[in-house]
Amino acid sequence: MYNYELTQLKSPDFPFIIIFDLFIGGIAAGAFLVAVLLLAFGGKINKAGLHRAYYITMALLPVYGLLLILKLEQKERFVNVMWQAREGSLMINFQSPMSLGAWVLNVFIVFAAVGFLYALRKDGMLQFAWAEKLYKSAVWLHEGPAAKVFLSLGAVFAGWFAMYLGVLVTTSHLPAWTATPFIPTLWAFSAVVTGVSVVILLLVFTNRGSKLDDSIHRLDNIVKSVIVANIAMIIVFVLALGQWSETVTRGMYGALLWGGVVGAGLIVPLLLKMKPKLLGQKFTLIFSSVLVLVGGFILRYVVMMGPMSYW
Amino acid sequence: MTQIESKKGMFIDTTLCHGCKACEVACKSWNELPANSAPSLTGNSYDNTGKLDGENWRHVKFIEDISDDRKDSRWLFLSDSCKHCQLAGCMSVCPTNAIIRTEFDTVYIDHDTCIGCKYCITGCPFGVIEIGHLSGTAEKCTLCYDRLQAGQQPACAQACPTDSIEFGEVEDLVTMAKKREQYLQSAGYGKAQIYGDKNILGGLNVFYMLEDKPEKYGLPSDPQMPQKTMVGGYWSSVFSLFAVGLVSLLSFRSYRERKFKEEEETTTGA
Amino acid sequence: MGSNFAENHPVAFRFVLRARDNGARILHVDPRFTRTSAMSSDYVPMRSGTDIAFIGALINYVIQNDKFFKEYVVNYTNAPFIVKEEYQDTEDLEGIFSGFDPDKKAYDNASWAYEREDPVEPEGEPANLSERLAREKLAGRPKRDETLQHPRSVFQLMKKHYSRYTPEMVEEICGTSKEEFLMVAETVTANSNPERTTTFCYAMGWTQHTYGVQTIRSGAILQGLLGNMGRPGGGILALRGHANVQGATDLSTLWNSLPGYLDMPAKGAAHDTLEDFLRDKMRPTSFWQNYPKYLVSILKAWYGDAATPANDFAYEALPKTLGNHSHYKMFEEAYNGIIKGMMVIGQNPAVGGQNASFHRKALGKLDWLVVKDPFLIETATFWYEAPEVKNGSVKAEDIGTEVFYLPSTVFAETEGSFTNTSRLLQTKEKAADPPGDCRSDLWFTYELGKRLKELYKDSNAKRDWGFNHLTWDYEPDVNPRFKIQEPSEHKIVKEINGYDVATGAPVAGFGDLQDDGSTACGCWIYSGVLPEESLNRAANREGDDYQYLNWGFAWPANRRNLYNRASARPDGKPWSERKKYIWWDAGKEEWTGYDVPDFAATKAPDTPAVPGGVGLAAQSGKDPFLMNPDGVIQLFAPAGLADGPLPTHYEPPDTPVSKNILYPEQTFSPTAVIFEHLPNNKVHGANNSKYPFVITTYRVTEHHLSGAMTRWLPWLAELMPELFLEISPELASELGVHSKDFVTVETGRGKIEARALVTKRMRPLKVEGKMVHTVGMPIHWGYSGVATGSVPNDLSAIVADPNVYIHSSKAFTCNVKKGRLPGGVV
Repeated sequence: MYNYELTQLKSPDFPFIIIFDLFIGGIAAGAFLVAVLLLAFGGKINKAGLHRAYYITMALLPVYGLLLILKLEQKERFVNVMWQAREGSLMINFQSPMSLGAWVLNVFIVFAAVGFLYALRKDGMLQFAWAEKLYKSAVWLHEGPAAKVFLSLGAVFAGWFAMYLGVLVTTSHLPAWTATPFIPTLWAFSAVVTGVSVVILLLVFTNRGSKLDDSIHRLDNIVKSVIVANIAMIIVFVLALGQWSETVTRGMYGALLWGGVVGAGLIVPLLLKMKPKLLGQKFTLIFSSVLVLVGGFILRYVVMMGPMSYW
Repeated sequence: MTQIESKKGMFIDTTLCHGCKACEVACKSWNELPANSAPSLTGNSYDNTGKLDGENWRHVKFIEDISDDRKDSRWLFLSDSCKHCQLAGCMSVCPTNAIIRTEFDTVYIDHDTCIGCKYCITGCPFGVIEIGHLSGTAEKCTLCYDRLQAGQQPACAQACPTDSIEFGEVEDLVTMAKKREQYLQSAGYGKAQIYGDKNILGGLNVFYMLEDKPEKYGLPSDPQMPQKTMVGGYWSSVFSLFAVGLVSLLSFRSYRERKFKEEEETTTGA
Repeated sequence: MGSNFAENHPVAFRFVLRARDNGARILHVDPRFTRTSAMSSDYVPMRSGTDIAFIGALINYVIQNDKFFKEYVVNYTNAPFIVKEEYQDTEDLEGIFSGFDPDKKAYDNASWAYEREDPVEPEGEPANLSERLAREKLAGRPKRDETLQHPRSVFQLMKKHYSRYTPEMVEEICGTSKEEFLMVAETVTANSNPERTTTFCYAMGWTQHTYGVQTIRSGAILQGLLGNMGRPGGGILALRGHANVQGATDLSTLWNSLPGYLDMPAKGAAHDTLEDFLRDKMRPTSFWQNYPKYLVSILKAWYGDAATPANDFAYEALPKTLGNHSHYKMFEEAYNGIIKGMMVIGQNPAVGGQNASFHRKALGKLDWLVVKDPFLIETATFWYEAPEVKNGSVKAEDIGTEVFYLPSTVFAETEGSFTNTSRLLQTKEKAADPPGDCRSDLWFTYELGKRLKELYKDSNAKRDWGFNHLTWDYEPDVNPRFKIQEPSEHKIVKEINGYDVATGAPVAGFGDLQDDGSTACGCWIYSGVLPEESLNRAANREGDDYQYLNWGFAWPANRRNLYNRASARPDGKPWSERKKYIWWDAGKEEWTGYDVPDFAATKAPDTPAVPGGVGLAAQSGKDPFLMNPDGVIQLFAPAGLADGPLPTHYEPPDTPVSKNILYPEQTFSPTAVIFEHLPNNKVHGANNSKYPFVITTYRVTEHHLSGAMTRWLPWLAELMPELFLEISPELASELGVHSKDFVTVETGRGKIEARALVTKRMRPLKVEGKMVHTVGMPIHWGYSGVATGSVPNDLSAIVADPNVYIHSSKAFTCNVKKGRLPGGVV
């Protein structure tokens, strides 16, 4: 008649804003990740405008941080994550992806700031004389002899940042989150498609003449590839969930996952991108990017809320 | 780190529990926990508490194990609470070290440090912790830390009319439980077993004598630390980073070859 | 049987569990699978209200299979006694005993008497009033046949009476399978012998029937046959449902008794003078022969110096009963406008009384009503919160009762003592002052008495003499820790214990009490609790590994096990080494053992009964049951019962079966008291198709009685937040009901709603060839408080046992339908 199987585990009931958090963090990290990778290893190809991805990251990270704090029941105590007042020491717990994630965020913010300065210099904006040294350092880090090392490190932290919330939910007891190790992968792929889509949108809207067309199309190409990978990953994820797949495929969640994420958020944009003439090139770029963003948002909703509401 | 002075715990013998819920009331009374707002009948046997949460630190489970023909009729009771694990999942994932081990070797939530991130909720394999509605921080059984400091036993143990909840030094309790297990098995409780010996999360300070396998009581037979799945998460992260980086770079670069062709098409098309 | 030990006596149940772990077998025979069943070795189901059929069959099994304890039965019971020739059994008269008057629905018990030898004239002059009155009533000794073969011996009469109570009959009547019954029979008999004893624990499941007293008697008879009385681990144990209900009974909250189980004088009877009264109540050949000493001592305690031999010790000032003033009669009189005002203290009849809606009607007829309780209970709120007021069928403005509510204290706010199930007095301390204007019942009663005395002090009316001369000095011994001072516990305990009038020193025990006015004692059975001015034995807290004789004080005389002389053979040696308890120490020439001997301390086993002797002298050194007229267990009760000398199976007034299979002519108890003339109090009779299901009502651990102390406490209310009806999955699927669905329960008395709790713990039983469904409902709910709901007691009828007027709430019938009551209780 009744059993206690379900009550032996509890949903953390993370508040809804965690979806925004994941979504925004994903975009910030995805945009940054692709930007540094391309800047470092993109070869001699035209990379015009790619640095503008940094604006996105820099703009979104404070929002991310704020949402992170808003998520807490005791918001004013967020600093406890970094400083252990009782013991008077820095707070870091290597066993806790959340604790580690907080530090990853801190480091990532440094990278993002350097990137931001670099972007400003490239675009010739806000060049204060007193900060000349900072700008120069940012340029040096991006173009100097150690650029590849710096940018690679940035990529690692961007990736880590994109995925730490995945590792976080994997390090738990909700079977749907722990049955597979693939949630970080989902987050990474989705971060890239959403992040790059936002970069594309930014470039489309800031494109004076056609100077950035090349970059936009190259980025679009990335999106297409990662969309395919993302679809594949979602299918692998659901299959790997086994008995727990119903946590993300039951009722509304199933409809959102297959129709919203895979259909409207991935397959439709992919098809549109393959037939750009159907709706016109510019409109296709904008529309498909928006769809990808919506899909990315829903994906997070399904994977987070589905299992949580199951308990 | 707090110096552990003694290892305190509880041995809960379900064969002596008759489900009177005195422990629940004593717990709420001592810890000044509010009653649930607008409680209603759960329809699940005599259990109207439902689960452990921020306001219910003890929960007596009622398991009606009765065959359709009533030949085998059992009604099992289990007074559930935080088990004060040696390997405590909640403590391991806490990002602020708000969950600490006390001088009594018990697991205690420091409410001044807790930020209410809820992560510990998922870290517990038994579903013990939840956020308290009043405190806004994670809440669970403290093993009556304040009473222990005053040399008293926890309120539930004191209230238990049948000594089903025995409080004491874990070592003594384990000895007692082993003897009890032997007795029970000889007295017709063939499946009587200790739950919470060293094999479960390094030993539970609050452990049980069950009449049947743990699953009957809604207890996991082999609970793990949450970190068991963390490693996989990190590996998959590394893989993902390489995969997505590689795919991005390749896609970016592969555009070069087709660039002019497409440009031509676009021009003619337009 | 008849008790839900684990749920309703959860603290005492620890000892049962300890016994279980020591190898005792716990059998639970009950209509429901309860938490007690869960903790027992075996659970055996039965149909509610058929206990006598079940136990009668056990008695038959014991007799037929020669499993009774012969030496015990011959010496310690009235089995050998010869009953008069005029006596006729239910076997002869198809379900009734001889002496029945169908018009009065009552028995004349003259024909149930023993055949007696000629009385012997006592020698010498009587020493005191008690002896003189005893001699007046002395009869000859009953004739005996120790071979138990005489056809009119109690043993043979019983054998015949129960001969048709077979395992097959149990299967038919109780719905218990033959195998399960035989398992119980074999377990009980195998465990009852010189080496082992069996005990029966009962509570309201045995008492609350129209034949409640007889159910308990059947248990006592069985235990007598098995030799389980007066021996350690034996007896039948009445489990008391409140911390101090034993104390309340001892100190007489009953309408017809005075403290210590003395009787209340009645106007109608020949009770005009003290001597008339005592002559009527005198029991010449048992310890009760001391009756006058205890009554006179009470009068001395109450009227002090004003009570003199010349004025019959103020006997006249004692109120006399005018008839039956039991609970239901009282409410009937309130309903009929005879009783105008009522003080309800610590009771909640508006929801707790049977046919509670009738109780509310009766309350509504009163001029004034005082309710004193810790919370604003339903009895105080009935005029604006009762369902009939809420749904408009009764208008609040039509209820003329003026209701006064006085807030009361709870137990931790007063000092005093509790007397528990084991007759053990234990003191308790006051922990805190009561909040606000809350005052204890004791404080209130004392203050009320003081004010009434003040009011009457100038009156010379004869009726006020009692008030003016009542001793009423319990001024507080001031405790500086508290603001609110309670009347002096010490003064009260001293009065209860008794004292020498001349010196004022406490008496050592009831043995010191006299019938000449030289001693005063408020309750003789408690005498000895305060043997010295500074020693309250109820406060003793010294444990040991067996009987804890220095822990609290058990009345009488700190005896833990009553009639413990029976734990030794007639010759005074223990029945067995294992069950050694009290024995005759031939060297010291006294009784000794692990308990206080319940026997004259130096009366040797071979002491013969004195021919013509009164009191204990009429009993020999081997008659352990010294409160009984002949010093033995009365398997057959020649007197004292209104409904027959031997327990007989009858069906409850509402029964699912078509007839009493044992006595088809007599389905119901012929003497059951049915309050037919009350409104809305129809009984359903046999096999009423409108009400096909058996319903039984009960308590759960989480609440107490009408919920007056628990439904207002959020921590308790949440544990059982809503009224529910327990039904089996079989019935639930018939009705299309799921757990938590609302159902409407209907009887000829009322209609209520509750949530369904579908559980396999309830089981249909096959009775009379058909499946009989039993549903169960806890009684705790009402319309006021934190956890509210319908009033379950609206369903039951006011019917009663003819001996003690206990109602019947454990077995009646009802109908259950899916859905809520239209305009139901919110």
